Amino acid sequence: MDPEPLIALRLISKRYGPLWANKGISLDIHHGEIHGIVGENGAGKSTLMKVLNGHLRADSGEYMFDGRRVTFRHPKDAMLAGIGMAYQRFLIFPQLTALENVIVGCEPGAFGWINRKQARDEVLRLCESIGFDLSLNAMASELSFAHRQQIEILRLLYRKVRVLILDEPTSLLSPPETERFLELLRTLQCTGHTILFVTHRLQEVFAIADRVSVLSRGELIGSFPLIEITAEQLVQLIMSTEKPALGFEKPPEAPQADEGGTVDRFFEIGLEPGIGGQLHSPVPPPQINVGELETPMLPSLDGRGRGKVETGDVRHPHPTSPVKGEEANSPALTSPVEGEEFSSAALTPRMRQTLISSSHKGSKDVRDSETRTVLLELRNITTQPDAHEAGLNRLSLTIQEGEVFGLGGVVGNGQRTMAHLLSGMLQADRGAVFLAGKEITRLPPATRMEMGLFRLPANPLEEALLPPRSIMENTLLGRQRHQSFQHYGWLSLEAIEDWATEQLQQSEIVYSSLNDPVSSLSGGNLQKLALTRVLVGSPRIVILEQPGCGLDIRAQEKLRERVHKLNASGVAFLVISYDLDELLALSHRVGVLYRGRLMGIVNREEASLELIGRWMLGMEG
Amino acid sequence: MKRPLPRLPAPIEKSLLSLCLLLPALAVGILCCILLSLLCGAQPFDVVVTIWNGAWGSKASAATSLAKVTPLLLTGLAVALAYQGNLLNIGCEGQLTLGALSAASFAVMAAPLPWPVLMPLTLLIGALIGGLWALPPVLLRQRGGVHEVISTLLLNYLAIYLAEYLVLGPLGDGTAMGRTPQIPPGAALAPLLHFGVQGITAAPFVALFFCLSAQIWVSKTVWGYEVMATGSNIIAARSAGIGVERWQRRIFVLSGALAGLAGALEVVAVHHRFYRAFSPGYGFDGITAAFLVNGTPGWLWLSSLLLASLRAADKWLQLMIGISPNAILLIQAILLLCVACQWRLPARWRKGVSS
Amino acid sequence: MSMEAAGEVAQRGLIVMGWPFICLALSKATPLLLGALGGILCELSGVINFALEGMMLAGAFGAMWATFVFQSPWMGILGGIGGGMVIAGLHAIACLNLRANQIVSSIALNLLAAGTTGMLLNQVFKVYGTSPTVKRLPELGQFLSATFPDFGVWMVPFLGSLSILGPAALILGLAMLGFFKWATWGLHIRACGENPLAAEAAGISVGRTRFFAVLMSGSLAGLGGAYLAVGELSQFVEHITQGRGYLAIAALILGRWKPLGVLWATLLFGLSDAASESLAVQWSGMPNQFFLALPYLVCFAALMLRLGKNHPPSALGKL
Repeated sequence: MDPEPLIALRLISKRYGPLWANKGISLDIHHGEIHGIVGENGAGKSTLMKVLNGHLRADSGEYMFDGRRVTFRHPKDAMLAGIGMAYQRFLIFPQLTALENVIVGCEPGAFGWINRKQARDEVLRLCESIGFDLSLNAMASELSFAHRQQIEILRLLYRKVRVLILDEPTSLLSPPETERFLELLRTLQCTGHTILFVTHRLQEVFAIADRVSVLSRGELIGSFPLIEITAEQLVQLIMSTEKPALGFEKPPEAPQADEGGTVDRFFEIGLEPGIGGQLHSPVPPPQINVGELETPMLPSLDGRGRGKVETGDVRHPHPTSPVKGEEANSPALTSPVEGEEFSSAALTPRMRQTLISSSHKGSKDVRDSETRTVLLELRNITTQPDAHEAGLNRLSLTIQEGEVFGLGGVVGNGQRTMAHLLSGMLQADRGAVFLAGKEITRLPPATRMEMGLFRLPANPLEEALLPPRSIMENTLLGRQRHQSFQHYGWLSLEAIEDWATEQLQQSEIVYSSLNDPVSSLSGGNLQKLALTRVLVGSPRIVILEQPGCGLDIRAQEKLRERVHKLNASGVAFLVISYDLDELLALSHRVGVLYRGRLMGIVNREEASLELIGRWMLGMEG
Repeated sequence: MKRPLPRLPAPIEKSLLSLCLLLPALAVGILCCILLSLLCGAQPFDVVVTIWNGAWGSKASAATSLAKVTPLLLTGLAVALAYQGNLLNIGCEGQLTLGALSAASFAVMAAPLPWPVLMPLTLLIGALIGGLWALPPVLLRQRGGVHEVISTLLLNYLAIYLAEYLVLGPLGDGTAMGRTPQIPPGAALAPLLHFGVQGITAAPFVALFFCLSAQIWVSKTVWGYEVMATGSNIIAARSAGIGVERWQRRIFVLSGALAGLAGALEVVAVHHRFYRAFSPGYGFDGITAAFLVNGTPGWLWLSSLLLASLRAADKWLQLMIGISPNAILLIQAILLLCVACQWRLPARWRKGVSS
Repeated sequence: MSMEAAGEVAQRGLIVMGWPFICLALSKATPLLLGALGGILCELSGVINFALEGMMLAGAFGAMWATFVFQSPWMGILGGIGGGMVIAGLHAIACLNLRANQIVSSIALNLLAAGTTGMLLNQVFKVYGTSPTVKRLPELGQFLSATFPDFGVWMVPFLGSLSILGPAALILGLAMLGFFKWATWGLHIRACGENPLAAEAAGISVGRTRFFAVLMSGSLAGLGGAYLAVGELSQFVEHITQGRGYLAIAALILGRWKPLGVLWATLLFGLSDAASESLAVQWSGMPNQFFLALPYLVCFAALMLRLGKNHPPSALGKL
């Protein structure tokens, strides 16, 4: 590697009002390396990437590229210099073909005419050289997420960038797709590209990165070559701060500095994906992913809050040495192993399994399928597929009283259909649904809610709340016909106001006035509000869609705690998530959908990424 | 939470607030109109005075203007209510026409009935037909995704042609004048006060009553709440158990019925018959009236008065100052455009106003 | 066989096949086509355009005025384009810069055009309802016989009164097809209407592209209006557009926002319009209004029959 770094950032700072998104960051990226950027949500990773790619201008500091000082005013400038970024939320044009998606903005040809043949040849050549199987004439809205990712990468390569910045590139990919993606990165490295990628999945960092940089609270903790650092050390560095000062919470009017609701909302263009995924449910911020060293679900194990990981304390009964030993022997760190499909994941599941099995001793779970009563049953359900989501295919499933059932799978394989079916928004062609023995197949949503079946959608502001209306009106939604709030149709505003105030207080939702528009609440508070509304109805079973979506780590934790508490008091949950780690952390049992079929169900203890990964691809376990 | 200061009743205050937010837009609009009048060589003040004189200057003209307020109130209400459910009813023109025609024909055919039965029934028939004419667009939207703006517009034309054919033929009075026979006195609304040709009937007050009731219905009842929820976020409303499809249909048909009622009321109170080209654009004025007050039924009386004054004064304007009557359309358009642009106070000021 | 004789046979054959009827249909479809093409441009860039009626009306007036002033219908065409662009410019400013509600802005602009044209007619020409007569655009037959004297002669009779703008509109339609497929600008416009954020990221200036798309849509719609004033009639009449702007929007929807689809949809409307004229003669028993209403009926029926998901541009109406 060159002694002279390709990119050198010196004391880069960026602030939003009182918030320092990046503070005095000095970072070196060397030629041809794969550099991982890790850190908690809110640590400033996205901001830093945007500064690198020219989307944002730093308030102070120097940006040296190839030895020269540069200032990018627009991502296009950076692109011309050879730096390109693939955003976490794919910037896809749904009704344009894949080819058009790649070449927009940089079309070959003269005098305003596009030379389609030239474009096609060149893109095909690129595809072949890196092993993409994208069909260039397909409409982007019908492509899977993996293919959309290919479009993003092709876009960058087509513009001959040398440095690729990737923001959470694997968050929407299944394990085998992730593997292929990591292979791609290795290939790109071999052809001389430099790669920066932001991720929460440390096993990926350990699989292919040369160096890793840790950001925390806007500051760079350090950059380390991977061979010199261990997983726990890395995690420890990531979470090495105590709970951040409250000032770091987003004030209502200031723009959100980092990932989360506002940014996600920006990127939503109502894209309806093909059997591949649902783009407009924002991606759940993935988890720090090394053996769940800190599980908020386990207050019994450790009374301390997050962030207090001390050296050597790995939070599971086994001492650290086996982990280190594993590390040393793990093939994943040194080179890819031929034939081993999931080698890069080898690090995590074993640690996680030991952790999980130990963690569950002492909590009342381990649902024995024979002893618990069945609460929700689906019998032979078949529904029509629509353009973007698989229909359910002779699906039968039972969920027991008081259990948390996790439903996973690649986006678009029927999870959303399931949620809609259970909540009553969709009718099945065949089959029946039973709630506590009673058939509810033809019942409307209102009746199901009365019976205790509720649904909490992924993006509450879009699907469960009324954005331009006040907080009070939103709190009332769903309960407006209740006898305490209306008298022969006449709303009792005072009663509603008192009740709303009480509910919001109980849920610890921060707001300034009941008459403020609900969109003034933060993402976490919105989730809380939606959940509060659900809970008010004394639910028996709640369908949670992507619970962690759009929330920062603290809010996610709080949500998990609440779910855990409710579960302990007897409420069952069906958690639908595309993030396996979230599922495995929350559920007692996990099932995987593939093209509307239930590939299998497994208890958490026996779950392994390999098995689930195979199911996600439709292969029998 | 802050301790609230003594204030007006909440619903009035909330709507006052929404009206205040419109003021900057209206101010810009008025500015443009002033510029326009200067361009035409007229003093803006003269224009305003002339409009006032033309509309309310004499008792006779006041009565005429007040009579013009009625259909505007009702069509404005029709558009405003449909907008609560996030639907645009551009078809008031056709619904009004058919409502008027059916009311007139019914009154003629059912002449023997005593007036306590005849008049309400006439109005009811008008409303019913108007409501029915509004049903296809909402169904098309629900089943086929066709935007109701297009379907209501097309139905406008179809309604006008249908009415013309009917009034020249089977429902006409036999002459080639293209009108129905006069409705029996039992169906007509007698004037309360006699000024000039028309006098003031109870019609405007009936219309006002509808508007105010609608405002209360929207803001204080469960059903108004559910319609509002349907209009704000149909997905959320559906998941919360509200029957959104049914509400959309209901509110759109109600909207059509109100437009039909406007037509029926015109027949019953003012013209006492139906004739060709019955509506001088009340349907479209209703759209303007509704959007000028941001769709709040309670304030429709303001915009309706304004628009009625403008309409009543257009010939006077021409006579006195020599400005073309089309200038009225222009003023309307400017005001509507400015309101559509949502000129806003900066956010800080808005918060100050609301506290 | 001499040229003339061959010509005569060809003529008779074409008349039998209904060629005059087709020409009539084309002339009825022309303003709709031009308006709808303008609508496509605007909506594909992501801006809702219900103001085609106003743009056409302004275009008609502008065409008449320019022809009056310059005594040449060709200048009238420019005037028509200008008139449409004025309304489009207002729409662009309102929707893009001032973030107005696009549908309400459209309605306001329709009103504005009606009021302004009426007022100008009264103030400038001192007449009410109908403008003075102006020169008319040459008909296609005349044009062809002027440029290709030998062959044009026998074409004249059965080209009817098809104006020169008729085939021009067809050519424009096909040109637009090519524009969206082969021109960089066309791709940029579509990108703006699909995902403006992604377009910005790709380096396209979304605001500027949309602005120009709206202006161009106004010019096309204005051209459609110009046809009405100086192509078909030779004067401007108040409300000359008679709802054609709205039919154009319906054609846009039926044609699924594609130039070729719009071509077919407007031809369908033109055919129904032409049919209503000929049928009115044949079926004299039916009331007059039925024939006037026929195009709207056909339109409504077509909308009803093409039930199923429309696919407007993904970011239509979103800024």
